[in-house]
Amino acid sequence: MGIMLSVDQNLYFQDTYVFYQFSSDECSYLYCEFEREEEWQNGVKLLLQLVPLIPAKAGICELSHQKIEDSEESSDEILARLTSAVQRELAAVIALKARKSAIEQDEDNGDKHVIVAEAEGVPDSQAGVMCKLQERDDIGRIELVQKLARENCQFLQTDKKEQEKSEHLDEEVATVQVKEQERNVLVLKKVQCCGPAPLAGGSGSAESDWRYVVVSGTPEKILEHLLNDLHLEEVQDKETETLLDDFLLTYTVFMTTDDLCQALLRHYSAKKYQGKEENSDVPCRKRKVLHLVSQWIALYKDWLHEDEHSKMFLKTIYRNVLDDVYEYPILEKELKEFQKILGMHRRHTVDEYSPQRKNKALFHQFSLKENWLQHRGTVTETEEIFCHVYITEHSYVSVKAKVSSTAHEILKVVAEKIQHAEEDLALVAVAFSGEKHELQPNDLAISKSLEASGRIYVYRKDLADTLNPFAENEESQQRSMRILGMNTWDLALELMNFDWSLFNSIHEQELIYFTFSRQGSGEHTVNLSLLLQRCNEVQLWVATEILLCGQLGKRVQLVKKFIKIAAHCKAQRNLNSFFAIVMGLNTASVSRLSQTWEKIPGKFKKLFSELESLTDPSLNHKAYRDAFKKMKPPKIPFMPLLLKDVTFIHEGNKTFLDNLVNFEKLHMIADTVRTLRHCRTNQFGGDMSPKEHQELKSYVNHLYVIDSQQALFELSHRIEPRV
Amino acid sequence: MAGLGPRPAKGYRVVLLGSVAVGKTALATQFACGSFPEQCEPSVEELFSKVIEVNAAPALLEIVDTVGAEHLVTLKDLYIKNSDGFVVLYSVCSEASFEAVRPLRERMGRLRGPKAVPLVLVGTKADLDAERQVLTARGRALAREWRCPFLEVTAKSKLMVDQVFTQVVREVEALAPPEERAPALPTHAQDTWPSERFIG
Repeated sequence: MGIMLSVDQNLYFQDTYVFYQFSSDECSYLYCEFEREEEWQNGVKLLLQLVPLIPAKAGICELSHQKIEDSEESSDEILARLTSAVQRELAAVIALKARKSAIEQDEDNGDKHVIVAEAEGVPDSQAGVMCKLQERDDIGRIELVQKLARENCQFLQTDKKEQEKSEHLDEEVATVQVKEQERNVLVLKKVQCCGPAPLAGGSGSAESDWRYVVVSGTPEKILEHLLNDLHLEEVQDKETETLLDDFLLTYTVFMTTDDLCQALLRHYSAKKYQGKEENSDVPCRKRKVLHLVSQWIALYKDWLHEDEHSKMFLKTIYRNVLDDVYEYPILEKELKEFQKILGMHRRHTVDEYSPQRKNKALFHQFSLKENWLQHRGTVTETEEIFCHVYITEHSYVSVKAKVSSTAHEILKVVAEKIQHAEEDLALVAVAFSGEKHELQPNDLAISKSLEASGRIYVYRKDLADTLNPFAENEESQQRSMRILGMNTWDLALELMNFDWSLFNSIHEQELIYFTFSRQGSGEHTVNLSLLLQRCNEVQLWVATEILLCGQLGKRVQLVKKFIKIAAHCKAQRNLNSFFAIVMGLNTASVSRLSQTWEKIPGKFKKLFSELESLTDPSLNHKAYRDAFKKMKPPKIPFMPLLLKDVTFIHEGNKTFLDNLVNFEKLHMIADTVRTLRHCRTNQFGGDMSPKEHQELKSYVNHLYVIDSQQALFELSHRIEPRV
Repeated sequence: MAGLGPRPAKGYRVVLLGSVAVGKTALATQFACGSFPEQCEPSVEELFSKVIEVNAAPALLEIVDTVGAEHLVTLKDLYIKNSDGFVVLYSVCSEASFEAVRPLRERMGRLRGPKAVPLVLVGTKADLDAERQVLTARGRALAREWRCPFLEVTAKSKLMVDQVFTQVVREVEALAPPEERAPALPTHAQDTWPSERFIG
């Protein structure tokens, strides 16, 4: 006699879409009151008939588990259908088989067994999860067997023909497809794993060289697979770590933060199958979820705190953990980790948790693009922003200033750059409509009133205090080339410091947003945009400086200087500015200055030629890629190429394949993010420029550029007319 | 001047020129990835090199797409002087990009001197009709002036993109000087090629 149980603990007998389990040792009643009834007997007979006709082979699995030994005696031991939960476990465990191949008893198991969970021949068949294995390897062992034993299932040996039916792939590539209701929900691929699998009691068999990686899947399945993959030892396997990283970096592509929070809460609170709460799996699963969450927080830092859903979620799960820690003291360790990361205090210490984060807040930078303030969240006064102060329509000074700067402070910087007396200048806010408004010295330079698509201009004040704008390409006669008097190495150093401050503040998520959002810019990619803008401005700066230099002799010196600075940038592993300077020297308006270039000494020409060769775009920028790979971090990549790569991955690969998330694509994108991460390692100290370099620093931080190709050409023709 | 990578044995180097945001990368991506069902990796050397058939013979076509210049079209003069063919791109949705094309052509002509300028004029984003700013007729007229082929394409169509490159290679062949273009297998392509390739 047995008992029919609804696996999902449903009370109502529903027949289809519900999995039932028929097991004999669940029944603890010694006497069954229905025994006499005919219908009852018929029913039982039917159930017994549903058992697949393959007899249980005794000695198939020699397990230490008591239950199986009991069940060997009774052939009534059946499972009408494997539960979907079991199927999932199956798939996951099979996928993990290489790691879990702690061979113990099953070594002498010569038979190859494949679990086929088809319910063939059952009248109301809804084929549950079908797990197709396409190789004849042995399966993952004790864990699997024990799990299944708990479920009281019987091992079935598939027919030989079943295995032949399955597509034959060569040994190297094998795919596991997990299906639910006839459709794929997760596809895994077998790959050779790089390092030795950290395996306790590993057998060292060939299988431990193979791991399964996610090819595609539904969001929920991928998350589930990830949670199953995680284990709670000190160090994860490389593939699992990568999977976790990939998932956390790119989940926003296929899941909202809210979805993820809900899913995690579900996993956290999930009671184990069949209501067996004393299962050691429950705290295990909780710990895994917590580990994932703590990694998530570590990766996102401030970004998570700004999302309402995640804030709610963190509070909720924290409360859950505090509750659970009494029931499952093993959660203590995770709790401590969690608290450390959240910077929260325990409830029974002084006061309730305060949102004091231990991590330093990321340096938020805003760009005042056309004087539109783009910012995340609220702007604090000490935050720094970049703004353009226009001299003429096509030239500006790029100024880095605090939000709370006054007009006077900004004017000072600008006056110095354009080498004009400060008293004769005024800052004027010009709206899109043409309306002008002079800023008084103590006015805030950046204010809300500017947001109406205006620009800040510098106007000249004549004796009558009338304001006059500068004309395009006016006087450039006696502009002193202050840069010529500055030390080249120090100039490069300050360029590097500036670039690092920008590069360091790029959040990894910005790259994801850049890739997947339509415009590729906006409030989520501010710091990235700033670094790109910087690359442009340095190019323009080089051209501007050279073209504003009216005297041939000085111009030659200038070109030589820039060549040297470029060489220093390369030595300092700042490839962003390196490229910018070389490109600036190569721009048409500069490269046509034949009189200037003629006078460049051969040594410099040779040096420039070598530097140029690094920027050769042929063979997909092979020269740069090879050289950059060899450089040790910390190093700054040439950002436009990095972004082109990521755009390329995005455009060249579909995000969804057959309604499943194309995880391999996301893995490639995550790889690019990891490149960024790698570049930023090994840094020590910050900006260590001595006091004497203040002037130099200011020179490099505030660049005067002419950003119109036409204006630059005009200047170029003026200083060296076409022959 | 040094600074150029080794040339393929018998091959064509075609440069993509045009202002920012016209879709050079999209075109290049379609060229590189269009026919691959597998994953497309960005850092592979031969990504933008493909064997194509020209006059019933295989040839290696490498396309060069430069990156990084937003306000300036910064391509080494050397490239313009020594590449085989050009694809000059503008976006039909951007008047500014169309206007930027003429000075490009002038510069190319100046730099190459007497050498032919095999090029194809391409209007991209042809699928975005709603945002069109440049009429097809204007593009056609300009191409007539330059005596070059004209195409309006969308990078989403592999067929169209392939056509662009087939056309450009045809132009290169058509405008090549009557003598043998290049020895079959120059051993040191980099050293010999700049001076020997074009005569006159």
